[in-house]
Amino acid sequence: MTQPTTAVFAALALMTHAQPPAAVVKEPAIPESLAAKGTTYHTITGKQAQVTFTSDAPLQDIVGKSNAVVGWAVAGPAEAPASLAGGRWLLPVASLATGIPLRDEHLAGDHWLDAAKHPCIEFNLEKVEAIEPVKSGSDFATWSCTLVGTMSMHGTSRPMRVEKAKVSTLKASERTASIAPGDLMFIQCTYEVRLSEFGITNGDVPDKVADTIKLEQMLRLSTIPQKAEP
Amino acid sequence: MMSRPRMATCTAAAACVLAMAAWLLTGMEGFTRWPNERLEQADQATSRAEQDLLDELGIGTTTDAPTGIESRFAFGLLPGGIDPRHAISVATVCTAAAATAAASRLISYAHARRTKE
Repeated sequence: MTQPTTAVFAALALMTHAQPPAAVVKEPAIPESLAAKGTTYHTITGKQAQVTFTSDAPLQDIVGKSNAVVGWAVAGPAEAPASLAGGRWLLPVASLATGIPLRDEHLAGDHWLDAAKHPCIEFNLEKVEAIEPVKSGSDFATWSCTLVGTMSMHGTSRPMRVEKAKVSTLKASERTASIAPGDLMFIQCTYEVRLSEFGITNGDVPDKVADTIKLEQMLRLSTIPQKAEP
Repeated sequence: MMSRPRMATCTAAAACVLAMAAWLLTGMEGFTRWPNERLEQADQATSRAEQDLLDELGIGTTTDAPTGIESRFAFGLLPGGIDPRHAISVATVCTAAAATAAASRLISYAHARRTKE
C-alpha cells in the first residue's frame, strides 16, 4: 500500500474512533452547616436520562437529553424527609445531546448556552413548600411538593418554583440494590423555562427553537456517593 | 482507452452515487452522526424491576419515553459537526468529487493547449 493511501486510512481510523469530549463535572461541595441538618443524598449520574428537554417550535421539534447531572439533596427531619433542607445540582451544558452533533455544538456555542463562559446550568434548592403525602409503605414514602430555589443559566440567575414535584424516599433493600447501594431518593418534576428570561436571544427563536423549553426531570439519589468511573 | 478527465468525471459521478446510496441506506438524515456513548446511556430504558418499583412508589413515569433521539451512524446530506469524523456527508463527497473532476479537466485542457503551442 502506498504511503498516501496508508495515511488516508490512518486518518479515517482516527476520525471514526475519536470520542466526543466527556462532559463530566464533580459533585459540588456540601456546606457543613447544611450537611448537619439531615441525611445527604448524592445524585446517581451517568446512567439513564435525568433531564429531557423539548422545544416545540413551528418549524421543528427538538428533544435533548442529559444523564450527567451531579449534585446532592439534604433530607429534612426523619418525620418529614421531603421537607428538604437544601439541594444543589449542576447540569453540564456540554452533556446535552440532541442526536445531531452540529446542533449540540450550536447549543453549547456562544449564541445559545455559551458553555465556554457558563459551563453548567445550576439549580439551588432553598426550600420545599406545599408538601402533601402521596403514598407510603413500610419502607418508602412519596410526597407531592413545590421546590423553591434559584436557577442559573447563561450567567443569569432567577428564582424558580417547580410545582407538583414528587419526592420519594426508599430504604435500602434487595430491590433497590440493582439501582444503587444505600437508601434512595427520587425527585421527579416537570417544569418550563423561558430562554429570554435567561438572556438567551437568537434569531432562530421562536420559529426554529421555542422560547419556552419544557423540561422533564427524574433524579435518582443515594445516601452512598457514587464511585467515580475509571 | 478512457482519457484521464473522463475517468475522473466517471469516478466523481460514482462517488456521488455511492454517497447518495449511503444516505438512503442509513436513514436519510439531514446531518451525519456517529454512535454517541453518552446518548446511548441516556437512551437506555429503565429496567422492568425499576419501573415496577417506581410504579409502587407512585412516581410511575420516567424520562426515558421514546424521543426519536438515536445513537447510531447516519451518513447525512450535510456534515454533522466540526469534529472531522462528522465532516463526511453527501455534500462533502459530491463537492470533493466535483472539484477533483473539474481540476482534472482544467489540467488536461492546459496540457492540451501547451502541446498545441
